[in-house]
Amino acid sequence: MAANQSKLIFEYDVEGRHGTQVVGGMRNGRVEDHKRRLPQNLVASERLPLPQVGELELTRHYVKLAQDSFGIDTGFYPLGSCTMKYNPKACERYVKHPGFANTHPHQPIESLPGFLRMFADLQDWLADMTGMDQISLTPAAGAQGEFAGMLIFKRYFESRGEHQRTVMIVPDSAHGTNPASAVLSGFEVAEVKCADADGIMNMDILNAAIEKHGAERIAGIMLTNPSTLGTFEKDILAVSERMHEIGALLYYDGANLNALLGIARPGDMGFDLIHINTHKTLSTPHGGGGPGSGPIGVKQHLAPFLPHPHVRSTSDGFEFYRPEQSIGRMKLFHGQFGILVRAWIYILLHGPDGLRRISENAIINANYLQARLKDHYPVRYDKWSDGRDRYCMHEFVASCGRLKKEVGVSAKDIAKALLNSGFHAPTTYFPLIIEEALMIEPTETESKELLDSFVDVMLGLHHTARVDADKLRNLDNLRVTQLDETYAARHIDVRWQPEEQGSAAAG
Amino acid sequence: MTFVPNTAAQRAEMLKLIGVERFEDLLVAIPPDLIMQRQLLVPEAHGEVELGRAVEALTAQNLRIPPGRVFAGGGSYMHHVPSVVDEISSRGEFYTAYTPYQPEVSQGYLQSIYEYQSYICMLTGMDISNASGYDGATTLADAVLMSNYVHKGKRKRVLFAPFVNAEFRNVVDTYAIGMEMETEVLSADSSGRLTVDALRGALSEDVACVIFQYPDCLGYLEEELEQLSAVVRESGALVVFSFYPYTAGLLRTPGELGADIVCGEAQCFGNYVNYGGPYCGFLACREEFVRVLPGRLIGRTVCQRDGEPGMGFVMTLQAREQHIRRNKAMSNICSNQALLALRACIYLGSVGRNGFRQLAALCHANALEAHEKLVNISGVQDAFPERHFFNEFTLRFPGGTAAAIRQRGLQEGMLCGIHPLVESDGTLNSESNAGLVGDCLTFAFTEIHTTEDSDALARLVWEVLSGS
Amino acid sequence: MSRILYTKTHEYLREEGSAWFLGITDHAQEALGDITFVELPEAGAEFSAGDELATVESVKAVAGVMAPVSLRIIEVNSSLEDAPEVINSDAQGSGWMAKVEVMDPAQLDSLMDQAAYDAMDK
Repeated sequence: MAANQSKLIFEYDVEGRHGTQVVGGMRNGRVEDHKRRLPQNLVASERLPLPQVGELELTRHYVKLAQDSFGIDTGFYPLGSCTMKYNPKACERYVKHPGFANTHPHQPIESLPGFLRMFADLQDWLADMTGMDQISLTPAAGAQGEFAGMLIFKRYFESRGEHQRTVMIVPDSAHGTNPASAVLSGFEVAEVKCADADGIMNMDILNAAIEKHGAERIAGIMLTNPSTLGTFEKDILAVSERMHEIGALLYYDGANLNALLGIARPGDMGFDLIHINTHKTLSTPHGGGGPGSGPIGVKQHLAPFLPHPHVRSTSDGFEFYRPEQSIGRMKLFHGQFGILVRAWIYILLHGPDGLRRISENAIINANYLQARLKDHYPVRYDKWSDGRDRYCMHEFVASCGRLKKEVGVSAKDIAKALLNSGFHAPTTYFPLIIEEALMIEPTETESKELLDSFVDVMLGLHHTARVDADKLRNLDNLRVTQLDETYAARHIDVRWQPEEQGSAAAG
Repeated sequence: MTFVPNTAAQRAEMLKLIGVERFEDLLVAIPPDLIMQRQLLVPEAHGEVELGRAVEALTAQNLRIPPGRVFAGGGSYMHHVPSVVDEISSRGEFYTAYTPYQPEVSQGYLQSIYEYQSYICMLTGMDISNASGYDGATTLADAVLMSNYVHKGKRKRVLFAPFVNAEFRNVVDTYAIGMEMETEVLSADSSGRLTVDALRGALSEDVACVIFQYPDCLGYLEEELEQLSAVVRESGALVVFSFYPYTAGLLRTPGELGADIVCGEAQCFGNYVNYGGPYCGFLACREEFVRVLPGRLIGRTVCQRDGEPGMGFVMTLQAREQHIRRNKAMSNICSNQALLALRACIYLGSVGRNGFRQLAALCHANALEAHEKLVNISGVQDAFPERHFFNEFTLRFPGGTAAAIRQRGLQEGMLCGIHPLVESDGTLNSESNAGLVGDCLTFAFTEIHTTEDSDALARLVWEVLSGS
Repeated sequence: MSRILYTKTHEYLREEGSAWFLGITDHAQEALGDITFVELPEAGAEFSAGDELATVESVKAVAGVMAPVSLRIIEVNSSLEDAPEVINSDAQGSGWMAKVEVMDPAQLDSLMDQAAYDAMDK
């Protein structure tokens, strides 16, 4: 075993040990002589070096890895922009129902009216929640929803002969997927600065961008509302009116929809196309980075371009169909089915009152934390430019800029110190327009008691930073520290190879 | 029902500290016209009791086919999911975790992805695997994206070998819209094969890559893949394999056969068929292409472990990705299918090399057994009798009976194959080689199938063809 | 002492004989942090002023290197591909990225000299 590291599964390998018995011995006996029915030049000469490990060892190995990980079930996870709220256990339990899990995607849909009904329910519910006319459930994740949306914009303009509309306006506070999705779809990105105004889009910024690029060249604008700063885009109606006036479209990034359930709808704000991150608003598990799901919604004029397959109602039920001018398939089969089942369950568990309570409490929790922290960790946009008090929606962005300047303690130092205190860190250094940003989103599922204890720790760290910055930096309750990312980038080691320990795997 | 813990009294206390009287005061920035004046139109809240009933009622409307009576693949394979996979991956530390951006508290998850990458490299014969993508079709599109980048956008044609799964091709076509690339399907000869001469004739200096499916969507193994790959490489184009990794239990890896980029589905390793998603696409390449590989990558590096020098794991080469490169990123992807990749890891560790080989051999043996029973039925023809297959094969039926077999199967609770030209949502897919597989069905078998299962299929086919 | 000119985007051009050496400034390397990868152009390639001709990556940032004036690449410092850290240790010396031919010397007048670059608000 290599020096001082957590043992890899490959290092437990002992030839002769057997793992999980998938099929009984009586069926295993007859397989060897069939090898001759394969083309000899394709038959492998050696077995792959998969490890031979007993099931108990395997279990302990992965339980240990679980214990070396951090989930919402472990502790408070205030990552801004990520909506790390409780993932209800009922969603996990029922999605494992064999009626979902063991249905093959090629089983004809005519024999699955229950699933069509579920798709149709979800399409209706999401349409109502967002104020859109039609929902497509197929995109695999938020970023893929954005990509689908951008392709729809592209096809829409092509269908109108407006091939010159190639410019997509994206604010500087946007998530990196926005510009990347636009470019992947063949648009050119015009980044506009909102940082100097109220941190949100306003008519001066918009008109300047229109003037600069030419009204006839602009395809659309990508916004999230509330913005990445946790602020409601208060001029949104004027923005959408102006964009439509010049013949352009509005894209809504649903990253922050958790603030708006039952309160306001992107469709009413004038957005033509939206995506929803089910793993945020509808609490399907993040799973350590995926799988997610990114349904999109459109107004009627964009419906002919929706991805294939789409579900619509018929005289006696529902059916799959391919929209007339569909952009095509986004992924295999019918979307992230297991994730959509969880979203369906989540909505059923909440009902109309419950959904609104989600957003109310997400907003109250965020404002409570902001109010208690902002004297120590300043919030750049805590007043409107006209001097009025400014409340956040479901998240806010505090800054360690002052600490950095005065005592040299950065957002990264605070983040690491929080990890040492048993909390997950907030999102740091995003959005890029706030120096030493700490982006905090408590979500609705945390209690006041928990938020108070978080505030206590944050204020304590602030104090420590001021009296003894080195002590703050040298907290070491974590087993693993000082992971060297520069070394990792310069010495690329992204897989284990059998030579590391002398192969036990040949033959 | 909700999962909001704060009481009305606590909310009042919090609002007071914030400095407002009512919740609505926090919404002053929202134009009044936008505030909803009605409830959302969703069903009333369900408790667990009502939820359980709703789930039962929904699934009861469907035809439930037992796993052993599913004789279909087409990119989704009904392998057994060992109990240990479900039990371990259900731990909250795994499924409720976010992307491991804070490596100090994510070492376990990061290590599992490093292990996953190692497994994928073994299975594909490649040097570098990313941390996974949405599914086997989107990672194929990613491979095309990579080819575009490698050739700096100067080669705009993408060639598909005959019989690459239509749904995979369709996804590539969608991604090609933005890249402004052209795709085309190469013609097969009468035995469904791509000849070296036909390939040579199609290649030109504007071909970015050639995509082979291994085994192809009819289930067949192309014996000359090595020669075909070499011809592609000579032309300067990249060799992309869309690969069913279960074959690696018996067969040589794509890397050994000359692939530059290999992608496919890890669904077959411990993930349920789940009516088509979520799945786990893998994407691996030769080392020289690491800079254009989209998606996350986990690396091993030096660190302090319990106060001593040691090794640990981090996300690496992040500067390729959208959160840093923004509009210059290789791709817009900002997730991976970590939970499903973890399941693949647990699966491969649980069966081990000996179990994997046995299971792969059993898939093959079960397919051979069923094939023999079916081709012995009068009227059934092997679509391409001289060709070899792993666990999926294609048969030709007398005019019109293929659809009747599928229909009869549903009546008897069996999924009897897939029509090679019909997609999973029922859309008919046209392609240049369609004439070769008109009256055909493609059947798939795995280790779960028994002699009784294939007997039942053979009996049904016999009954339909004999009119009984 | 050889002549050295700067851009607002933190590239430099250093004159040596009839050729110019191009790289990123010491200030730029410091702002980027530990550099882990460099993508260099091909010899013979031509760029107009303002075109991106190379990229420099650190762990958490990526920066494009712009052509300060219209130029042709004579030679690249390919040793950086294996040792990008040299840019951190000696950005304006052995960390040069390309040896270039300036197409229109008149364009050099638009660049800053040492004093102007030092005085620039970075």
